[in-house]
Amino acid sequence: MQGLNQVESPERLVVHFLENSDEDSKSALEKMSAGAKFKYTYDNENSNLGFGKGHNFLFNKYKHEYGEFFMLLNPDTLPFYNFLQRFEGFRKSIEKSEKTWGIIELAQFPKEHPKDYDEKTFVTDWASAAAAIYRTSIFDDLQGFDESLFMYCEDVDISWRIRERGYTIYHCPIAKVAHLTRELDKRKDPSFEEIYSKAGNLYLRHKYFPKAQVKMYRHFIKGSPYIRKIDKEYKEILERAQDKGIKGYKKFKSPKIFPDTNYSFHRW
Amino acid sequence: MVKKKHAWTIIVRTQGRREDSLIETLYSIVLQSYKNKKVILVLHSKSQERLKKLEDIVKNLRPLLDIEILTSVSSKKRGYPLNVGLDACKSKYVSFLDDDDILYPHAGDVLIREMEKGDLNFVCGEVLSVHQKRIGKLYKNTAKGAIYEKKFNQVELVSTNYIPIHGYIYDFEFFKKLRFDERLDLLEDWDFLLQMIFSGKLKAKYIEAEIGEYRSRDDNSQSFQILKKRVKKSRKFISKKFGDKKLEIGFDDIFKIYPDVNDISPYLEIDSDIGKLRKEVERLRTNLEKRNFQIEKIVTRKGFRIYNKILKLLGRSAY
Repeated sequence: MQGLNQVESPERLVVHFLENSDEDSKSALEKMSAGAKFKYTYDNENSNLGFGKGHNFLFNKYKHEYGEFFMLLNPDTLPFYNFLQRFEGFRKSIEKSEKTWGIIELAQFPKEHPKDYDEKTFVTDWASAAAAIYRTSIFDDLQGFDESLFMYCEDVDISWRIRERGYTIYHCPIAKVAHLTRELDKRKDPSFEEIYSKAGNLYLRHKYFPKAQVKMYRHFIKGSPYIRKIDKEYKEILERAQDKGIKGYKKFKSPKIFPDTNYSFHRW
Repeated sequence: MVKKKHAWTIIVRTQGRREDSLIETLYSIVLQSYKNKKVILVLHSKSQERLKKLEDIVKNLRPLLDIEILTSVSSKKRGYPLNVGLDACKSKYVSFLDDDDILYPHAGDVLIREMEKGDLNFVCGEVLSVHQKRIGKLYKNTAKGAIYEKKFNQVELVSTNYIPIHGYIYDFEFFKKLRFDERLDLLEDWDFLLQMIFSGKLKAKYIEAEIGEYRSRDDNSQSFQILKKRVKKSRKFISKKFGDKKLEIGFDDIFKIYPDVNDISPYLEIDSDIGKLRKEVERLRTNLEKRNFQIEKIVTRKGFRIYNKILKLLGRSAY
C-alpha cells in the first residue's frame, strides 16, 4: 500500500486486491489505505484459490476495465516510486522496433531474479509474475494462468505459451520493485517453495516434454527431504489438469525452449 | 507493552552523482525490518543542482523513511561528510552506507539483536562483494562472493582493512567523540576502526549473516595505478599515526588469522603445467578423432614443437 502510494501520479492507478485465504482483511486494508491516492477494490473468496486461479479470478472480473496492459504485483513487494515512469520509457523504446511484446518483467531488488536475460535485447525466456506487466489481449486469449498449478511455475507456463504465439518477453532492468523473497525474509517457510516449485517443474516437463524428462528430473530431486510431498502435489496437479482436459506433452515448434541450458535454469 | 527499540541512524554519504544507485541504497534502508531507524544523508558537494536532485528523491521517499539531508564542503576529504553526519547523530546505534552499496532487509535487526544479547558495542556481519557490469546506462550484477567470513580479530584488522564501512553497527554511546580523520584521502574507514581498537573500549563480534553488498563497477574512471598510489599514501599516514601503539597479541589471534598455514595438501596434477598439457593433448586427440584422424602416438623428444604444429594445422594456438 505504502509503495503504491508513492508511485508518481498514483491517482492513475486502480488496484484490485484479493484476500487469498479465509481471513477477513477488509477492515485492515481500509485502515492501511487511509489517505491512499489510488482507487482500489477488495475481493474475498474465503479460501486460498492459489496463485494462478486467484489472478484469473480478478482478471475475469475486472478485465473489461483494463487498458492495453495490466500489471501483477505480489503483496510482498514494494515498487520503487519511479517504476512506472521507467517502465514507460522502456516500453516506448522497445516498441520502436518490436510491437509484439507479451510480458515485460520488472527488475527485482535487492536480490536480482536469478534467471538471466539477453544484455543487448533484454529478451528473456520467461517472466516472474511477482512483478510483471502483461498484454491484456494475449492473457485473455490464453485464458490466463494454468490453474492446475497451485503456486510456482504458472508464470513459466504462461510465458512459454505467450512466446509460442509469437510474442516476445522482456526483462526491464530499469524499473525496479523490491521483493522480499524467502531468501530475504527468514519468517517464510522454506519448504513451501521447495515442494510447489519442484512439483510444478515436474508438471511443466509432463506438459511440454517427453516422459523421459519427467523421469530424469524426478531422479534428480529424489534426495529432497520433501520428496513425498512433492510427489503428492505433482499427482494433485495432474488430477486438476486432467479435470480441465489439459493433456501432457505438447511439443512447441517455435519458439524453442531451452531445457538443457542455464538460460532458464531457475524454476526449470 | 512492547518496549520501543533503541534508535538506529544510518549515515549515507553521497556526492549526488549516482542517482539510481542512491535510490537503491535508500530503498535498502526502507526495507529494513528494524523499525526505529533514521537516515542522515550527507551531500559531499557544493552543487545546488545535485542538492535539488537529492531533495526530489528524498521527497518521494519521506513517507516511507525518516531522512534528513545535510550538506558538507566538497573541498574537504572523504571523512568530513561522515563527521557531519556523526555531529548530527542522536541515536544509540550508528552505521554508515555509501551511495553505491546496499544493506539486506534484516541487517539492522540481526546486528542490533546480537549487540543487545551480549556485552558488545560493535557487531559486524558478512558483506558480499558484487561486481557490476555496465550495459549502456545501467548496471548488471555479474559476480558475487563473500568479502570475508571469519570471526572478528583485532590483530587481523590492524594488519588489513577487511571490514567494509557498511559491514557493522556500533554503539554510539561508547564512541561519542570518535570521528573520521579528515586528513586522509582514502582508508578513512580503516583508520576509524583502528581508533576504536586503540581506544581500548571495543567489544566486537562477527556474526554469520549476509547483511549487505559492496558493489564495484567495471567502469571505474580512476586508474588502478592512481588508486594504488593513493592507498599507499594513506597507508603510510596510518602507519605513522599508530606507529607507537601497542596491541596485545595472543597465540590464538595469529592462529585464527592463518589457520591453514601448516596444512599439507598435495597439488593436483591437473593444475600443474604438465597436467594442463596432458589435458590439452587429450582435447587435441578428441578433436582429431572427430575429423576421422587416427593418432597412434604423440611422443617425440621435440614433442612440444610438434604439438604446436598440430595445433597450427587445426587453426588453433597453444594456451
